[in-house]
Amino acid sequence: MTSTTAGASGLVRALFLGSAPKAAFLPFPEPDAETRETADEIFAMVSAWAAETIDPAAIDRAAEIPVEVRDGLAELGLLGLIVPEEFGGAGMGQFAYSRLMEAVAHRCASTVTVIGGHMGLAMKPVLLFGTDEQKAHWLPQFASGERLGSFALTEAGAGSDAGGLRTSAEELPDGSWKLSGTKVMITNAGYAGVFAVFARTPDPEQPDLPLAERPISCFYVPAELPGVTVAPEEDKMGLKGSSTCEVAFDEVVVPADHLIGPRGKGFKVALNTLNTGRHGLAACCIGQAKLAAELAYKQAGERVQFGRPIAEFGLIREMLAGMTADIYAMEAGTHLAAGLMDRGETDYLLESAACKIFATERLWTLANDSLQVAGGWGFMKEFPFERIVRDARINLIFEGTNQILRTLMAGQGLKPLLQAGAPEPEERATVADFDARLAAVAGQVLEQVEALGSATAELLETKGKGLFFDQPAQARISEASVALYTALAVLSRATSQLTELDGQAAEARVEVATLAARRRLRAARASLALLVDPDSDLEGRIVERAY
Amino acid sequence: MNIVACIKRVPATETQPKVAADGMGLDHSALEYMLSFYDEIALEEAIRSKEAHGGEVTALTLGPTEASKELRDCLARGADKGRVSLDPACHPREPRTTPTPTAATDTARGAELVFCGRQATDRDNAAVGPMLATMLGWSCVTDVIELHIDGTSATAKRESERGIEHFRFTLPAVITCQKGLNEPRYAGLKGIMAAKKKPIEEAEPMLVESATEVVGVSLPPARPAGRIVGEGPDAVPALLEALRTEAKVL
Ligand SMILES: Cc1cc2nc3c(=O)[nH]c(=O)nc-3n(C[C@H](O)[C@H](O)[C@H](O)COP(=O)(O)OP(=O)(O)OC[C@H]3O[C@@H](n4cnc5c(N)ncnc54)[C@H](O)[C@@H]3O)c2cc1C
Repeated sequence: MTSTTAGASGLVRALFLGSAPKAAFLPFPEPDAETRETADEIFAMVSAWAAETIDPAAIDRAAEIPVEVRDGLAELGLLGLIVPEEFGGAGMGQFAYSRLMEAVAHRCASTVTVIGGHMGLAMKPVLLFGTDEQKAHWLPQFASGERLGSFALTEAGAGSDAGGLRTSAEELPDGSWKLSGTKVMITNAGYAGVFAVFARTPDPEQPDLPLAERPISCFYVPAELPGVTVAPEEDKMGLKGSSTCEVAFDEVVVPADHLIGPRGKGFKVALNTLNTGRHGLAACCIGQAKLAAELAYKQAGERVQFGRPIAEFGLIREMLAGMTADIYAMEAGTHLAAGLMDRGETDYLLESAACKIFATERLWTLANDSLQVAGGWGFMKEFPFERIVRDARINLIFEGTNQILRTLMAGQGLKPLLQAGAPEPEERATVADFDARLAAVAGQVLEQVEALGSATAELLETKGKGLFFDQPAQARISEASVALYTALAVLSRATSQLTELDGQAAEARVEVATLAARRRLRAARASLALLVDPDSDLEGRIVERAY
Repeated sequence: MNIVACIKRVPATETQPKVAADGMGLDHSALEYMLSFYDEIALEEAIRSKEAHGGEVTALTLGPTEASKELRDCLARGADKGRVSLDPACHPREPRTTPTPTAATDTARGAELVFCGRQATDRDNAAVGPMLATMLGWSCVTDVIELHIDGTSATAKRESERGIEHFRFTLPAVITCQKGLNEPRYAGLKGIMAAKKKPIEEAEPMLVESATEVVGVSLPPARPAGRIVGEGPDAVPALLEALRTEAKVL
């Protein structure tokens, strides 16, 4: 049995090796009282503003976010939430950002996309990699909303394989750059003031490299520069109010100091950006999931069939209880990762991916359940159920498709197993670390963590490096790690919360947390049971014959 | 100019109150709280008056220590300081028990303008403003929908059922604020961050005993469910018939 260290290597990485290191998630990394209070105040303010200002149905119908709504985001100062105070922002961290995203998403999925594209993505390159001068130049404009940002990575030929991009930037004699290429499906493009564009730049060491092999760099390209053309809006299934366009760059001359981050390290800039952006997306899913669940509960309580409210029927209850439990789990996973980020952990790639996978997929099924509870009325545009379903669909695709994230998690998680000399074991969590009322389910979760470790090790033994070509097996290991990460987050969060609750409130929390953890346990077991899929050869042959 | 906004922490209007087990009040554990609707307008007018004429806005409340949460919101919107006159048993309260200790505070006495909501959304007494003015011996205009201040004199429009009344008066004065006077602002992120550096004081006021006693609280009887008699113009006869014979309102 192999073990690993926590902290530096992270909780999910440790799960692949069969251990749940205590320091990585216990006690639950709650924000300090002041941060929590500020985040709550922001949440309340934004929720009140959104309820009064944003009409999500009208935005969906018009396929446009009114300019007052976008201006409102700026006037309330929300676009600078995570910008350091010295650059005109509020200097808040990922926890506060998550709560902001949840609050806006609870009202309107299209509107929250504006913030995600701007603050979650476009602003990150300069925030994470900019020089002091660049920060002083760009961040105040971003924070005030004077320039809305847009993140332009994807191209027609480079989607999941973003590293296949072909946009190029040639260095001019005065040090500026001539940038050409076309980006597609770019959020915020219709009203962006600046595009974070990823382009291939010549390698000074190897000037003769063909375009496809040149390193990538990140540029901030102001929208008003000659040669920047934004195409008309795409007509989308959901998130209709958000702006998504193709953007063409035709020999755009970009000043030298608009290159953000080290030259040639643009791909790293992009990946790091997506890493936190993805976590913010999970927070959006919490907001929409709460909305869908509230609507479902209301409908189930009011709709009478066979002489009683449909909430009294077992099959409806199963869906409703699953929503409550899983929203608790989404919050636990997302806030755990936020806590780790805010306390300065630098390796949260896998946690962030785990949050995105669970939250986006669960929102999708939850929105579908909510529509099911509403019956035929749920299918009608007069009610919000169908809009929530349409809006939820994209989350499984952008900021890294969930397939890509699963293979990425497995690749990263399995790496240490291939390296000789596994690190010293860190103190592991035991049943005694959790609230006694959660002991039974905690024991089962910890057992399953060990089972994941053994399964992974065994799989590596039988398949060896071949495992890296077996995507279904990789996806199932990842799936189990996502489920167990989330279950541990639930148990840790509930354990912390229970120290402040008593009576009925405590009882209710224990029950929700128990169901939430058990549901993840079920998911983990199902994934591990199918680890060696007896049908995979069959599947291969069927597809081979047909395409 | 010293400006005071009197605000109240009230049960959130969306939450459905439950009667406490002893039947003598509400079950407070099940309630969420908010700044009373008309008090938001009072606070907004206080802040606008400061912005126009200079001075300082104090948000003042009589209530439990938890009311500092609502005061913090007032500070975030632009008030300069907050003050809670502590009254832990603030729930079984008659109108007099609020203005009496309030009128005794230096905060109120030292002000030129005191703004109150026209009524608090929990008890709807609409009494504190006028009683406070009476105790202070100041001018008072209630239900104000427009206000102009010019030095130490002011004009206001008051909305009443019969029409609009126009008043002229001198400061100090107590104004109670009606819907329409202004559109309250949102705090904004900068306001929320700035509020952290603003002071909230707690004070022990001279509380007065309530002269009335609550002997029971009950919820209004549940309304019977509605009935849809039909749709569109075709349903009109059936509706008229139902209103005449069933509801007996025609
Ligand atoms: C509304 C919207 C907004 C967007 N906003 C932005 C934005 O602001 N900036 C930006 O740069 N991009 C944006 N995108 C683009 C988005 O990031 C891409 O759509 C996404 O990365 C997937 O790329 P693709 O669409 O080319 O799909 P593909 O990469 O062609 O994938 C097609 C399918 O194949 C699967 N697949 C691909 N490779 C593998 C593999 N190796 N193993 C297993 N399965 C695989 C995928 O999971 C997917 O199911 C946006 C897209 C949409 C729809």
